[in-house]
Amino acid sequence: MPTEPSATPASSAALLRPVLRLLGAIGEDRAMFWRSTASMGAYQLFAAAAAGLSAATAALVATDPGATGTATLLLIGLAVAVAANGLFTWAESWLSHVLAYRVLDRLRLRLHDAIERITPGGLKRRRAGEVSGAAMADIESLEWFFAHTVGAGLNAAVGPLLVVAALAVLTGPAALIPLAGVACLLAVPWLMGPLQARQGKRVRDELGELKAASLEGAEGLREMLSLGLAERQKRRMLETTARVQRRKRAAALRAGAESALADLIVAATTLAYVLALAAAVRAGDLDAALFPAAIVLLGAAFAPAAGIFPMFQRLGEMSAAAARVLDVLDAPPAVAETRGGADPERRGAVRFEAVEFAYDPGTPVLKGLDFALAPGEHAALVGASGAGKSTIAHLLVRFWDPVSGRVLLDGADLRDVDTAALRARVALIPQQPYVFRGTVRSNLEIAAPAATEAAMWRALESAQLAGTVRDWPGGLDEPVGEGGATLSGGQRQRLAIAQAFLREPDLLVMDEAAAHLDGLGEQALAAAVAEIQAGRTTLVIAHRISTIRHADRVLFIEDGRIADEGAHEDLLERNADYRSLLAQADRAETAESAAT
Amino acid sequence: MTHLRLIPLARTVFPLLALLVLIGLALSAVAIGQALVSARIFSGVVTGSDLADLTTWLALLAAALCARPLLAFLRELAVHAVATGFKSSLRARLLDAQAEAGPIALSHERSGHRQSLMTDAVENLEPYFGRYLPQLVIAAATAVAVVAALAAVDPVVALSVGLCALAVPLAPRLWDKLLADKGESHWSAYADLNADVVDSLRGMPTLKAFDAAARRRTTLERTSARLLASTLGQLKVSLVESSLTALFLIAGPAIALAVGVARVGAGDLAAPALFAVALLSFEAFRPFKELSNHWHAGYFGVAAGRRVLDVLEAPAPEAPAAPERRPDLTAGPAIEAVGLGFTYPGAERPALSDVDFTVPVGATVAVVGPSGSGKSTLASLLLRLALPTGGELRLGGVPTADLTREACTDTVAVVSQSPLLFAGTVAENLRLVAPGADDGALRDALRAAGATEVDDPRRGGLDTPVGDGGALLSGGQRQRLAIARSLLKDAPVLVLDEASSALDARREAEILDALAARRTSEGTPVTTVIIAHRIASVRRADRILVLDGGRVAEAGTWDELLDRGGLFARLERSQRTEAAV
Repeated sequence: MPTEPSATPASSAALLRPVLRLLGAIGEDRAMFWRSTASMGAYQLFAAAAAGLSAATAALVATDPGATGTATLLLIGLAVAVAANGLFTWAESWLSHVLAYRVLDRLRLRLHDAIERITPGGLKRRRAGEVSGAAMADIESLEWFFAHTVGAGLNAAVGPLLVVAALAVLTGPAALIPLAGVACLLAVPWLMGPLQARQGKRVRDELGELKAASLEGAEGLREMLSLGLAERQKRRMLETTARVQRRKRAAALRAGAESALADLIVAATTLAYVLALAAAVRAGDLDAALFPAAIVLLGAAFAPAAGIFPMFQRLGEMSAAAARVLDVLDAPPAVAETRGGADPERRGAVRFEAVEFAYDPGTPVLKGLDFALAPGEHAALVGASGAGKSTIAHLLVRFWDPVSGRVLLDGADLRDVDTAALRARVALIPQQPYVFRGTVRSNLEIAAPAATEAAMWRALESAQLAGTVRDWPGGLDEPVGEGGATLSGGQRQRLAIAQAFLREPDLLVMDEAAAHLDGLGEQALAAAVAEIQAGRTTLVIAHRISTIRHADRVLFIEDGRIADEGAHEDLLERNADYRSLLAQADRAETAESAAT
Repeated sequence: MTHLRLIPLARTVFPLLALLVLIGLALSAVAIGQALVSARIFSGVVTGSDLADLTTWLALLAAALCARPLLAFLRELAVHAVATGFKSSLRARLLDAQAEAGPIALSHERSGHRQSLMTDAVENLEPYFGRYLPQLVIAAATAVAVVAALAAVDPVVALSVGLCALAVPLAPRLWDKLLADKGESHWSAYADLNADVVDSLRGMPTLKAFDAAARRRTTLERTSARLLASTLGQLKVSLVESSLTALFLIAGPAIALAVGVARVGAGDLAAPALFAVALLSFEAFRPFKELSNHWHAGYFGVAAGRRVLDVLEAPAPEAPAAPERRPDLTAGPAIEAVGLGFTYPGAERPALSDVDFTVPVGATVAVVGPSGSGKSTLASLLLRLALPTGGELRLGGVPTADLTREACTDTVAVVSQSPLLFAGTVAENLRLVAPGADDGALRDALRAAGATEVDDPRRGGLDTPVGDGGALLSGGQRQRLAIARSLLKDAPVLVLDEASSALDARREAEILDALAARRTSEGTPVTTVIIAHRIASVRRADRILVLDGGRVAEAGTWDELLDRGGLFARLERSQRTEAAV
């Protein structure tokens, strides 16, 4: 569940602010929004007109049964109003659906851009994946709000005012009474907004608790049955339900009071208006035939005003959602990407010069890192978790820039190299490669859009995955990723290696899988890794003794610096910290043998 | 019709629902009264009566106007009361049904889905029963009452209002029937697009490293635009449905008035009665308008209700013919599988097939294998959460099919990877399974499970709170506390399903050693089944069963299996050489 700011804003205006700002973000669709809102206004006004015309017709026929000509005219007007109401109702529902689609689409794409900018860093200590998941859920609820609720809220103010204007024409200064009534009615949810927002948040918090308890129960169902805990879990769920309902009762009391207050305002206004108009008719200031139409129109003025209640009902939640989405959209990019720029000779030489880096100012991760890789060299990066190994990998593809110092590829500072060209030259194979929903082919095309089928098979062959893919009924077009074939950890890495082959990089940066994969595909993976490393500068974040042993050189990272470097055997001999780190890794096994 | 099947779900709150409907009917009656009074006032004013003559009617109008807020407030309270009663009873029934049918009958639903069933689906039914259903009754009753009242004024007008009222719910249905394609395929295309966007966001680091984010975005944008273009026309037509309801709501009173005017012209109706016609016919349609506001509640309610009914109606495993049989764990094998097979309902491939093994009383047997190899299914079958679909599984010499669920759960204690703990103290969580156990017994169990640290006198000893769901404990502490709890159950068979995954190897070994020597209070040696993913955990088992794809790939002792050099040896080697830095 997305987190919400703990304190809710203290006024309805403050609640509306993020919603309106985000509404501005839908830019090009503003015209669509206004058309949809205007259609809603139109059907509401035609509904009011139909009610008014009905009363006027009845009044005319009652006072002057002979005036059939005028009565027929009024009835034709009524028919037109009814037809126009139907037409605009349809137009509004169509426009608002298109609008909803467009808003969703636009916000999704803006989110896509924003997440690209902040990847892989994330936002305020939350990972990019978490941020985007929450934002997608927020956008979906906001879509409905923008497309179907905000317009109704606007019309709640505009519609009644137009009807009141018509009443002013019909009944003169007495129309001040409905004006005051409508103003009071709109003030009710406006004033109750913050309280409603607080109550809504409390309900959602309790619902979150309920979900957590329920998920635990669902996961532990078997244990629950085996230990006879079913009754206990039931009691816990019912207690939590009771807490949710207690929170909801406060909200129900408020909603009940709100609607009662609104009804009282309607009652007072109607009575005052009836008395005022009746007096005016007696005094001869108002044509008696207008009296029923005016009273019926008053009712029609209140109808759209009711549309503001659903908007305020959800305003607290939507305001928090809009604020969260804006947070993401406003986030600054992690690096300023370079377009054009230096095109150094392609050899694959890497150099870190006094590189310092920190995710948060004050907690440096890299503290003056210096090292160089010769073209074609295979180096293993070894260090405790949190030593900054992944940061080094990310600096090489410019997910980040150093705070100070330089990272050079073939003599050029990465910041001066065209970012797209840089990423084409450096292949990053993550620990848990991501497989997109689609097919083997579409996943390979993400890496190399122009790759031919023959090139794809060659890459799969080199990555030791061709046999597996050939065995699948769909071959290259076999669905993979979510909803498709499930790839094992090793297969994922081999698919990532195939992707890297297609890009023919000069530099390979690989984060080796730490946890055990399927175990059985290990050899295939090792062969694939060996093949892609051949002739390329390679930096492996190493987790396995065998990888470390086979590297040309080991770079041992400690406390944000290169603590030592050289061949594995030499480091083992001379560096006590290195020995203890590797021993730690082996501890599980050591403990096992000691116990036996 | 699904609505009719859903109604019994609310049987515990029928009286409250009836009250809710009564309040709604009272509101309608007040509205109708107000319409009649207004009609009287209108005709009075229009025909020039003195204001003083209308005092009674004005007082009645005021009374009607003031009765509404009171009734509306009462209605909110009643809706809340219905929701509270209904949610508690339905959640209780769902939990009972889940306990009865067990996790296997629901295996097609992942835990996340079951969780949302218990929370979201029940929450979605709240507006269905609180608003939609009562309003359905109120709208129908009000329409009938108004048509009857109008019939007293003029039968022809009443007939036209009645026909329009029928058209309100029927016209959209007819429209639906006319449209062969209801756009289902379009909705699934929308869902697909959404999934693609989510996928793209999740895989953003990859896209960025391949410089493919912009390309991917363009593709998404184009797909989306194409989808919108292809749905626009279809949407225009299908949305007529909702507009039809709105049209009839406003056209109904207008038609009634036109008919009334014609009747007045023909001399069949007195002219002042037109006010009653106009205002009353309007009241016939007002409740429908409110109903259409709750239309979404109805829609989601039906969808949620179907899922709820599925669970409530799920069959439980067949009861045994002779329920008095009990497993005998004093002699012979504790567990015996003979050609055991099991296929999950609806699954294509069996989860277990042709599995044979024997576990002697007091032995420690380990089951290992890649994930999805059928290890956990075995534990579920031991608890009789389902019956084998092939062969037999015997517990203490009796096939599980001939035992009651209670006989099985009394015999077998299962501990899972993420155990279920409740808010309360360490002692309370332990006593859930052994209400009469004294502190000494609790401490003894904690000691055997290597969990003495949760009984820290500085933090309150056995009265230390564990937090909601055990939140105040570490993952390893939760697991050990759960193991201690299972020991207190004093069951002769203990199944540890990845129950020590959060422990380090040394501590795990100590606990497993302690368990191997344990006896029940009656002196029966405890038989232990260890289901593990970590090979090193099973080193000390008397016998290891290696499952692969639901079949026994290998069986033997640790040394035998390593010597053989098969699947087990490969799994062992790959886990050992992966010493992680």
